[in-house]
Amino acid sequence: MDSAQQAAQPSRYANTGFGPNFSVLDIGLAETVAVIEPDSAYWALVNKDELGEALAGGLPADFAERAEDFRQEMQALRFGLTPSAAYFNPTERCNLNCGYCYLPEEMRRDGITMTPEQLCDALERLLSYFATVLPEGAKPQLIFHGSEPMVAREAMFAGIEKYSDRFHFGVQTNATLLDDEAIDFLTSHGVGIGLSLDAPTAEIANRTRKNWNGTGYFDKVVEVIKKFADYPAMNVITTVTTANVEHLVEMVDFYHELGVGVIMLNPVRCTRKGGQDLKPDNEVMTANFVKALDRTHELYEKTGRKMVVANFANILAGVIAPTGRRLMCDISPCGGGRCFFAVAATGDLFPCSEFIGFPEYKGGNLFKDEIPQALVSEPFKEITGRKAEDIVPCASCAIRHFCGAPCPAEVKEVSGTVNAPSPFCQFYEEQARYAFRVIAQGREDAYLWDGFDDETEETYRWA
Amino acid sequence: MQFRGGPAAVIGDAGRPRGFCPVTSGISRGKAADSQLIREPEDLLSNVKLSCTDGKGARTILRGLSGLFCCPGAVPGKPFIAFMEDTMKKSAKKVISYRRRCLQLGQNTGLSHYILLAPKAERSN
Repeated sequence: MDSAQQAAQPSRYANTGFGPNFSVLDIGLAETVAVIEPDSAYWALVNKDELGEALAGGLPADFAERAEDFRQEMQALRFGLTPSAAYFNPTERCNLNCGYCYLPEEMRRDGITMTPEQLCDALERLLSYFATVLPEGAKPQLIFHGSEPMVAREAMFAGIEKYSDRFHFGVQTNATLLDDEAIDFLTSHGVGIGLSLDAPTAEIANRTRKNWNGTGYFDKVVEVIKKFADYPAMNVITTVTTANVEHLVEMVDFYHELGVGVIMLNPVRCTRKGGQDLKPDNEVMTANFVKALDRTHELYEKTGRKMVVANFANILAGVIAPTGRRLMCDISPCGGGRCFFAVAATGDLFPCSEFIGFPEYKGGNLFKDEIPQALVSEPFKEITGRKAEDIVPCASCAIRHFCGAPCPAEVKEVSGTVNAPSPFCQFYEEQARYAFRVIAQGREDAYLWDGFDDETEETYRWA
Repeated sequence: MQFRGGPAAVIGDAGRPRGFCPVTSGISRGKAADSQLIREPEDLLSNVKLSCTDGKGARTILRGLSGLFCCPGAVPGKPFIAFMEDTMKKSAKKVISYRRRCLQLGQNTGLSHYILLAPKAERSN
């Protein structure tokens, strides 16, 4: 029997010969461990007392029947997708000067803003491109991002008005420029809204999110959140820094009280010095984040009203359904340049908004170049070719396809190369452990966004 | 080794203990296929009932049975029956593993931005 024939035979044992390489992960439960085959993102939760038996029999056999399907699925997810979304910065300017912003200060202070004609021209070009890669009738997603997109209100609203039936639109905004008329316009057009707030009190929130004169906008943002309370397509992002990391549980209570359904508790990106200076300690970040997740579950049990922490939910989704994840930050290669790309106010194309402040990562210009050419440019290829397998210690990490070693822009700034682990490595480790605990306890529904089951189908279950 | 029923066909392995017969019990669980009652014809293990949900599950259990007979200290008789019944039931229940797939992946539309994680709002005008 040659090696190919041997490899085709089901192996009785894991971790020897042709058997699968199973990693055993402590997930913080007294009786249960996770067994993971990292390459295929296969996992099983096993009673500790039965681990030896499982590794020597049931799991290798069970895995062998599906390994090829799982590996093909991961290959398609990681290398077979084409863009279906764009981040779009209609202006370089921002009316705020947050300490951790990943865009250069001179750009935000003195940058350019698109006219309505320029913006509509850009959307037309994007539609032409997406028509070549998306199935007929499928709408691409377009997220107006910042800087502060509401600075380009006239142009942005003109684009939404003209193309509302051809894109799924979203706006990520600091909320400070949203008046009643703007809120009516956005909600009546079904636009997804992301707002930003960093703390449950003005004293803390205004430390990091303030205008050029140092004035914060806590009261205004809370007022806007209240106005969106009944709007289903609204979420709030909190950037976690040293200023607010100890207050995440209070933040959860605060948002839940306001009726917010989806939040993100994102660790600050260390893409620039301002972010690096505000980076919370990993252990402190992790401990407080876990407490915040616990609190969302307590509130769900107590009130019956769910509040999804979307950045964690995405990791949980990535464990349960690798292809069902929505954010493409926690998989390698990340989504930058392959699932989406970013368009700057100049029309310059970047793999992701995180790179807009780095001219060396420009892959082309929307008004001058063809998008497919930009997607295969050297700057884009550096990002779309970044794999956990090429990074130490990610190459041997059991959860490498549940974490993805984000984010390459941040990693490049911190480590000088994109092929280095996340500065928040321990934070991602603990999120994976928490996800497995959620599964072991059968609490998935309490943490996943509504509609997850309808968007996905079960393809395998241990029986 | 003589088995009746489809799953047994993959275990026709000489040199292992004989006499376990998977038969359809008629017990259903959810959408799964019939469960299996595994009996030893000479009544040595006649009280052992092992549930499985499909042919694959039966194979898993039968593999387990083969392995158990190889265990040191596994001797015919009631102590072994109790040991096996307890172990097999525990093993079947204590493993959690499943996987789902995005229904829209083939259309390149299943992956999106966090803003769109929130339910889509219907246009009202």
